[in-house]
Amino acid sequence: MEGRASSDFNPAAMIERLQATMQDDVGPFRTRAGLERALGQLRALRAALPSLKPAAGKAYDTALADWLDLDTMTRVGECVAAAALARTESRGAHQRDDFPGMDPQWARNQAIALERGALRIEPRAVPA
Amino acid sequence: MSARATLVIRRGAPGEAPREQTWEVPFEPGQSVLDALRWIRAQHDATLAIRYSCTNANTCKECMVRIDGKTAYACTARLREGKMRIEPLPNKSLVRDLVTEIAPPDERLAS
Repeated sequence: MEGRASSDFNPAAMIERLQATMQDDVGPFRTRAGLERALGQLRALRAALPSLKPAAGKAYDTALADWLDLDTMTRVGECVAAAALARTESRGAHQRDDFPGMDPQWARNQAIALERGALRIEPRAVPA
Repeated sequence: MSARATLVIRRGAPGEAPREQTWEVPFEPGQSVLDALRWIRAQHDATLAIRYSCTNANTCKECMVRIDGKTAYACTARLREGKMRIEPLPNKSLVRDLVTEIAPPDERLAS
């Protein structure tokens, strides 16, 4: 994100940038470098969000709606990218260019929990 | 080289004097009026109020506006060179800018 004063913060533009990040680095074909780059951008955006919240007041406040969407979009994006980074194999629509092929060790799910503001990922056995 | 449409958009909330704001929007043939409204929000003014959910699939039916005096879906109306006048629906109560109250009364949230 380039440095922007909150007065010219445009949440609609920020959503487009977030979507481009996810498209470029968290699509079906993934690498460690791309996923780490995406996580860096998602976390930087999340960190900046609280100071950029538009003041509420207008009817059908599209800027505030976009800001609220960004709050959840960055969180969901972080979950997707973090789980993809942890899964060091390729399987279905998750293709790691740096880990081609399925790994039988990875025949498992990953569970993500939010703990004190941070994500915790742990593998779990696939239910029988 | 892309073409340019000139969108003249009526803005304002109930109780305010309506005002017109004009934007030049570059476009490729085939792009929709909704594309232009979304471009204006991301490039210039995110506070422009428009209502849409599905983005150009014409399934949500929420983007109805008045385009050059005719009611149309912003997502199926095509951009063209020259001036296009975009206004809220005249027969629905205004919420703000291009957003009007289009839900049937028994489907509205209590206010």
